[in-house]
Amino acid sequence: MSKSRFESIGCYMPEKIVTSKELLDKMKTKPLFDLEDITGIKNRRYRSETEDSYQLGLAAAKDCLSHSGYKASEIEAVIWTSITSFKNVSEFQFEPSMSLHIKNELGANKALNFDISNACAGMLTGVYILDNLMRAGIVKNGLVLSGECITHVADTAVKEITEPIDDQFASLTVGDSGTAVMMDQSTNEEEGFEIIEFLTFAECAELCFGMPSTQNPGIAMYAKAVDLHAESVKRVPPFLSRILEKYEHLICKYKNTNTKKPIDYVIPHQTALKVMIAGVKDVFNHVKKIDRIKDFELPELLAYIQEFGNTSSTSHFVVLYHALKDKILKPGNTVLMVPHASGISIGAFFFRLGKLKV
Amino acid sequence: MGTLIRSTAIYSDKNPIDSIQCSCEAAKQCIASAGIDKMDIDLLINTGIYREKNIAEPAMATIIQKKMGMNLDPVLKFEVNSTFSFDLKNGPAGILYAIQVADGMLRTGKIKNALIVSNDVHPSTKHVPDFPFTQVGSAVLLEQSSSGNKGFTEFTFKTSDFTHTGFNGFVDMSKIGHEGRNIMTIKQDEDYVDDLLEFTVSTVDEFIGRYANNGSAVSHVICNKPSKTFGRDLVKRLGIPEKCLIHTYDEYGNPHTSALAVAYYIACQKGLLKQGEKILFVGAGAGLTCACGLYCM
Repeated sequence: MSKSRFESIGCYMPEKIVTSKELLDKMKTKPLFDLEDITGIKNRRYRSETEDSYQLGLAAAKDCLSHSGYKASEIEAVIWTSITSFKNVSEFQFEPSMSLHIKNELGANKALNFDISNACAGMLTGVYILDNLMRAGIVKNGLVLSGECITHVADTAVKEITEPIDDQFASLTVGDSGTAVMMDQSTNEEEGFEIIEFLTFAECAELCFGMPSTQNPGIAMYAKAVDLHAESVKRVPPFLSRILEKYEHLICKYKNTNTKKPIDYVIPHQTALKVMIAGVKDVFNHVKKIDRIKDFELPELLAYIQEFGNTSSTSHFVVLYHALKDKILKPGNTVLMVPHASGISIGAFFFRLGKLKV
Repeated sequence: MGTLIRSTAIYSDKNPIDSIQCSCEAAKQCIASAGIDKMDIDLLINTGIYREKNIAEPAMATIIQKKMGMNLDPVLKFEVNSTFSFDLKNGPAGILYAIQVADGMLRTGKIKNALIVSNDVHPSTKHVPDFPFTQVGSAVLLEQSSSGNKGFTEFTFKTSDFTHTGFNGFVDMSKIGHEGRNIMTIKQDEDYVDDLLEFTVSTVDEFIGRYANNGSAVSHVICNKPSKTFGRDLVKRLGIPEKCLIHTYDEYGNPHTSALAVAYYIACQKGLLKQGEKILFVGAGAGLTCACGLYCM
């Protein structure tokens, strides 16, 4: 059976840049820690007063189609995957679906469309679903997209944080964005997905909530960030090392002859730079304990958190897009994407890149 | 091979309750009546839309998974089984989209058992006179059929080429003040249900023309009812006898995203569904959106 692949990718980043310093300057109560030092985030993009999730997602979809071999009328599935579904600037939409607005605007009239919601795992949940729809022969291709105006939670946090320890501190790390990927079945054996795995360890489902604030108009995010981190570091490294062991034969198929690395690059969910660096090392310390894969070398970490912050459901695709644009990623490279999202969903998405234009 | 409904259950309370609790009550009964272990559920999809406090994150399905105690910690506990959970939203048709998604995963062998849960409650979890939906928790357990043409055999999913604004559910964050967890807006045009009926009739007509001998092969019709007469009007326009329609409106009103599961459950309870019969599922909602599924008992 042929593999699924990313056929094209699109991205839209709002123009407005807000520095971490600018954000902190607005706050009455400053955090006890240095936000920029602890997260690595210098800047994040901010929606303009007239931008909403729909517009960000639509712009990304149009960018994606401009690089695609498919016309809108040929798209067979449209899956919208954001946390924030703002349309008409301030209206958080429940129905009709955002995917319907997008598909009609693009002219993808024959596409199967629906919205999914899975916190920061949104885009990759869409990829997981679409991969299966293609494997089952239900559709031949599809568009997965998200537009995130998630900085609404940062606005709320800036107004509401009054204690040096507060559940809303993680809200200061987010940034706005739109991303879209077209997927189809790979035409050559050496391109596309080798591994797609996802699970939810719901034991920790209630450590992070996004919902309207009771103090101000708008949404807020309440995260037990310390607990989230502590619980995740116990589980992500053993989970990933088991996946790498289980699929060692697939991973080693494309071992880089120059660097000897079985995986060229890893894209974790973009939360904080130090956490990501430590996380990758931690995974590969686990790997060293497993005989079959003990020689696996550390892949390169891809991070754009310094410039864009945590863009929530789009984060892996903001990184993929910019790493392609900056010519870091090249055809033939192998990439491991690691979702890690409120719920808590964790997974492993391993693929070999083809020629993706940006 | 098609996807089979192994069991269903519904749950309703006199007063509105948290959607999570409502879905869990239905899920517990559904799993118990199937006689399987909850740990065998690999996929959990919530298709409910309106929920307590307008929670946007995490997926409600993940909290339902937690309250149900399904494979909560597979990594640390070295469990073989795990569950993946997410929400899928597409109004009353959402359940058919979720069944199509699960059907694909069952066919590729990615999963063995999928549970789809749903219900809609006003964010305040109070009786609000203008809120048009009845809260009924529903759960549907799916598995792959081992024999021939049983289960869901055909689907179609259609939407109008221009987005219809006759029905819109949203929260306007610029107007909610401090009450964002307690309020939301539903706008419905006077002619929305008529427009939806026209769109649904044309979609279903084409579907049964292709797969169900223009309707003569259909023994039962299971549809959501955005108005008291919608179901009757639909079968009449399709030329299907009214006795084929599973009636739920008088008892349950409009349970929105749970509507199809509620009607299927009622039909089972009443012993209406016989081996070999074909059931037409129709989910119609905002957009306009219409999904059809053909199910062989």
